[in-house]
Amino acid sequence: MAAETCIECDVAIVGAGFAGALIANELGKARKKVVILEAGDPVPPNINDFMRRFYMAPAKVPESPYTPEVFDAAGNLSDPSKMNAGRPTVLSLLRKGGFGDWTDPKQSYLIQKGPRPFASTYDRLAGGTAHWLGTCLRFVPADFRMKTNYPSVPQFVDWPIGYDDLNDWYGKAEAELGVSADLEEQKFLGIHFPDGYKYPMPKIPRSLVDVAVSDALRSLTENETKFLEMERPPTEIRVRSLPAARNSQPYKNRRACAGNTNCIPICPIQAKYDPTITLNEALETGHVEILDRHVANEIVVDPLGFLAGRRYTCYCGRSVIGSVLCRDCAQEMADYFKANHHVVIRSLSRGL
Amino acid sequence: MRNNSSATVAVLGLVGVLSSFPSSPVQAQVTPSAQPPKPLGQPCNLLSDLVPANPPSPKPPTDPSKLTLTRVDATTKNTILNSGLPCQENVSPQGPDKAKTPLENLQRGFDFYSWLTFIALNSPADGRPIDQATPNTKTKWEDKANFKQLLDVMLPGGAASEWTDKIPPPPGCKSQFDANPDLMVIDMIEETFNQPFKTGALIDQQGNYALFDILMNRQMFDYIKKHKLYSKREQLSAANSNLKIDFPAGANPPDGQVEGGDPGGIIIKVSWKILDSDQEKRKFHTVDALVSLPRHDPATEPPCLRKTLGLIGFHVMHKTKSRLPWIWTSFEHVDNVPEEQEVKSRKLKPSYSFYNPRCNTTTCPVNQTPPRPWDPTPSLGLKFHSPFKSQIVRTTSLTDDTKKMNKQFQGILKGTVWENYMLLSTQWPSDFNCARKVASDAKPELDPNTDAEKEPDMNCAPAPTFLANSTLETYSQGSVPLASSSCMACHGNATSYQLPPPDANPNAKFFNQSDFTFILEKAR
Amino acid sequence: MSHLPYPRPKSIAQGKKEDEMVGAFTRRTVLAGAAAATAAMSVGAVDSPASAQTRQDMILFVLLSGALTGIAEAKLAPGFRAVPSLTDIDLEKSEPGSDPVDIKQEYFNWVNKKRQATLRRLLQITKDSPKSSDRSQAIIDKVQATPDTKYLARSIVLMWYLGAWYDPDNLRALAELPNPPAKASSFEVISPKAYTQGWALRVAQAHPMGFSEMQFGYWARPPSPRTDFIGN
Repeated sequence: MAAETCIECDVAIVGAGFAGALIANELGKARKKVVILEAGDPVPPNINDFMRRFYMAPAKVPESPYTPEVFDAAGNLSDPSKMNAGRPTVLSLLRKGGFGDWTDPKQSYLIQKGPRPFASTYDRLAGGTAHWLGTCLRFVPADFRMKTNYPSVPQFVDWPIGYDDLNDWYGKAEAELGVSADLEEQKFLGIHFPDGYKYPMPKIPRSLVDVAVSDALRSLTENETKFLEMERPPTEIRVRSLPAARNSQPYKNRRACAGNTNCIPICPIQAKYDPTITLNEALETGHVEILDRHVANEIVVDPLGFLAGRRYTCYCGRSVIGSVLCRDCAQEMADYFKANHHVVIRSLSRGL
Repeated sequence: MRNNSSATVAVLGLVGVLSSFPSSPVQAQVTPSAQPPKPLGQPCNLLSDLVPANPPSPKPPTDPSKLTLTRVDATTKNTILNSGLPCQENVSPQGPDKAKTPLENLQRGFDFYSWLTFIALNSPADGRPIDQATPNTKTKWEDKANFKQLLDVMLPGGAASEWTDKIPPPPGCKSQFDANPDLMVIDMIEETFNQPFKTGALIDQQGNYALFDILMNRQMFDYIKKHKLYSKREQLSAANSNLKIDFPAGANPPDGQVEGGDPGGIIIKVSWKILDSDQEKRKFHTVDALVSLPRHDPATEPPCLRKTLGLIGFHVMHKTKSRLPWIWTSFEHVDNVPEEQEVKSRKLKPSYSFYNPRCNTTTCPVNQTPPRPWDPTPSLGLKFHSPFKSQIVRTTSLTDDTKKMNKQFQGILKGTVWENYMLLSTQWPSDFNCARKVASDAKPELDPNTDAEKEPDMNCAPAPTFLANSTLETYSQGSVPLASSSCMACHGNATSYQLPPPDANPNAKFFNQSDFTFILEKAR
Repeated sequence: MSHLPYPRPKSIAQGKKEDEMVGAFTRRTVLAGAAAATAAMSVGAVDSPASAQTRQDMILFVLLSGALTGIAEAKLAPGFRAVPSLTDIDLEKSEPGSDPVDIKQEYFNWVNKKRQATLRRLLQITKDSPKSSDRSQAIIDKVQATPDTKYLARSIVLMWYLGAWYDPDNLRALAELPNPPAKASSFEVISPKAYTQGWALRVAQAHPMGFSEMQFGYWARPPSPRTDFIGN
C-alpha cells in the first residue's frame, strides 16, 4: 500500500457498492469532495475478462466471473488468508471435512461459529453485489413495525422510520437503477405510491412458466389449499411479476434485456443494473475519487462525536475517519447511531 | 431518360462512345463534369469481384474453371471509381483459387462490395469522380440531399419534419452559421464523445477529443416519418404496438436489367479527429465544422467552436433483401493505430493519431480509458482536461486477403486523400437461408418475416464473428462472446420503445426489435 | 427468497448425500477441472493441429460426429454438403463446411491433441462404414467393439453437447469400476466459444446460460420447433 499519503475530504465512503456509489454520486453532484475506499479490484474498461472467466468456469457460481479467483492454480479453493481482500464464495459453504469445508479457514473466508453456515455471499467488485439478480421489491409498511405487529417474537424491532419516510426515496432509487414493473400489480399489502408515480419502465413480459403457474393458481378449491393453514383457505393465489432492475426498454444508454439468463452472476450486455453504473457517474462529477484495493482497517471517531459543519481529516496509512453523512441530520444520526449501532449496520447491509 | 442512358454507357467504361456526343469535349474521365450528380444508387452498381458471365447481370460463370477476379488496377480504375453505389451485394461462394473456402470467397466479395460503397459515398457531392477530389471536397454523404444527421431527424419534443427542412443550428452557433451556411454542424450529445454504452472517450495524441456522428439516408428517413418513429410518444402509442420495424431493403434490378433497383436503408457512423496543423489537413479527408459543446445548463448556451475535422473512422450499415440482418462495413484511416503484431515486431510508423511509438507499456498502458471525468470542460473547448493521451492498439489483425484488396484499391485512389483509408472487414450474416426474405412478393410493405422470429440465432451467423473499429469500438476489442465487439451481436439487441397493445391477447406475439439500429431509441 | 440463488445441480457420479449445499463438487473434481482448464488456455484450442489434417479427415470427423450425436451434419458443420448424398458419400467431392464459428475445427484439433491414434481409428471406422441408410448405427456398433474407441466416442458426444471435455479414461472408470474415484467425474471447459456452442441447450430449444442470440421477449413466446435448432 502507498506510504504516508493524507487525503482531505468532505466525506469518506467505505465500499463502492450500491449504497456507496449512490451516496457518492449525490454528494459529488452537490460538489462535495468524496473519497471512496474500495477493497476490491478496479473496474476494468470492458467485461471481456469477466465473461471469459465466466464461460471457462467449471461451476457457474455467483463469483465465477470476478476476482479474486475462486480457484488457485492447483485447483483448490483459493486460500483467503493469502489474499489482501478475500470474500465468501458459494463453494466454501460445503460439508465439514470435505471440499469447500465451511469451517476450514484455508478455504472459507468467513469465520462462523454456529452449527450451520450463513449462506449468503458477496463479491469484491464495485462493492459486492454486482452479481445480484436484480430483484427490487419494496418493503411493505408492516415490515417497519415488526415488534409492534409480532410482540411475541423478542428479536423483532420497530424501525425509527416507516414506509412513508422512504416512499420518495424508493422512487429515486428506482429511477437510478431503472426498475421495470407494473404499478397496479405492485399495490399489495399496503404498498402505495405518490400520486402520478410511474415506474421507469414497463414490466418485463412474463415467461411461459410464469403464465402457466399463474393460470394454474387462478382458481383453486378450499380443499386444495387448506394445508396452508390460513384463516380462510384461498381460492386464488395471485402471481405477480417481480420489479426488476432489468431494462425492458433502452434506458440511460443501456440495452433492453435479451434473455441471456445470466443476471447471476453477470449480465453480458448490462441490461441489468450494477453499481459500476452509478460509480462511473459519480466519478464523472469530478468531485469523487476512488481508491481501489484500499481496505478500510480502522475508523476513528472524533472524541467529540459527530458535529455538523465539521470537516474530517482522513488519517494516513491504515486508518480513516468517516465523516458526517449530511449537515442537517448530523445530530439525529449521531444520537441514533450511539443508541442503536448494531441495528443500523445490520439493516443497511440487508438492503433498504 | 437520356441522362441515364449515357450514364449506363459510362459505367461500362467505353470512352469511345462518349466521343459521339459532340457537345461534350472528350475528356480523360468518364463522366463529364457538366452532368448533374447521379443520385446514389440510381442506377445500382452491379460490379462484382468476379468477372460476370453476361453483363449487366452480375452473375459469375457457372463453369468454375472460367472464374476470374475483377481486376482493380489502372486498366479498370475509371470504371470502378465511377461505378456508383451498390444496391445489393453480388457475392459468390466460388472463386478461382481452389484453396479458398466458400467463406473466404464470400468474404472477398463482401469486401469488394464495401470498397465500392466507400468510394460511392465519399465521391464528390457535385458529381465529379473521386480521383478529382481534394481533401476537403464535400462528399455525397455530407450532402444533406443524400444523408441527414441523427439529431436533425430526432428533433426536440419528437417533432415531425420533412426531408428538405433546413434544421437550424444550436443558438450558440447561429451567427457563425449564418455567415457560412456550408459548414457542417455537430451538436454534441454524450454519444458524440463517449463510445456506445458509455464505454469511453477517445483522446488523440494532441490531446483533443475524437468526435462521433450518425447519419441516415432518405429511405431510412421516409420509413421513420411514415410510422412517426421520430417521436417517443408515438413509438409508445397503441398505433405502433403491432408494427414490426422493417426498414426498406436494397435490391438490384431484375436480372439483365439496369434500371429498377434501389439501395434501401443505409446508416453511416463516422469518427472525426480535430485537425490543428496544415500538414495533417493534407492526409485526411477534411470538413469545416461548427461544434457545439454538450449542453448542461438549459439557461446558458454552450460554446460553439469552429474546427477543421479529419475523417478517421467510417462505418456503413446497409440492408439488402438477401441480407436482412444488414451488411456491416468498417473503414479507418491508415495512421490511427498500429496492429498488435506490428507493436511486437516493432514495425511502427513514426507517428499515429492514437498511439505513441516512443512510450512504453508501463508509462502508457494500452487500450485504457482516459481518467474521468470524460465530459468536455467548456473552458478547454475540445481539449481533454488532463495530459492523458489514448494509447490504442488494434488487437485483431486484418486478414491477408483484406490487406491485399486494400492495396489494390488504394492504388487506384493514389493521388487523392482516399488512398489513406483502409477497409477493416465486412461483417455479414453467413447463414444465407436465415438472412434472406422468404416471401417472393416484391411489394415493399409486405408483412415482414422479421429477424425477431429467426430463432435460435437472429443474427444468422455473422462472419467474421467479431469486428471492431479502433476509433469507434476502441475499448471492446476482443473475441469473447457477447463481451467483445461484434456489429451484429450488439445491434441485434437494439429495441424501440414500443409497447404491447393494451388489450392484447396474452398469447399474442409482441416484438419491439428495432431492426438492428439504435437510432430509434434516440427519439425524444 | 431462497438463500440459494440457483438450482442445485445433479451430480454426475451417483450416491452423493443431499445435505450438501451444492452438488457434486469435490476437491478432486474441481482440481482436475481447474488445472486442466489452465493448461487448456495455454495450449490454445484453436491452434493448428498436431498432425496434418486433410479435407477428407474433416468430412469423416463431421460424419462421425453426426452419427454419434444424432444431430444433422449440416448443423454441426454449417455448409457441410454430402455429394452425391449422405448415404452414398464421395469423400473427394463433398464439402466439409465453411462457417465463421468453425467449432468443428476447434474440436478436431482438441481431440487430435488428446487422443490422436484413437481418433484415427474412429475416422477409419467411419470411412469403412457401409454406404447405407443405417450407417450411423453401423458406426456406433463398430465403435463399441474396443474400450478405447468406445470411450473416446463418448467423450466426443459429450464434447459436442456440453463444450467440455470428459477424458475417456475417466468415463471408463465411471462406467466400469464399482467405486470410481472422485476425479473420474471431472471435466474441463474447452473454450468460451465451445461453451457457447454446446448442443444440449439447443436440443432443449433454449440457449446456454450467459449466451442468447434471441431477442427481447422470446421467453414469452413458445420456442421455434426443434428442427430449427437441430435440423432433424
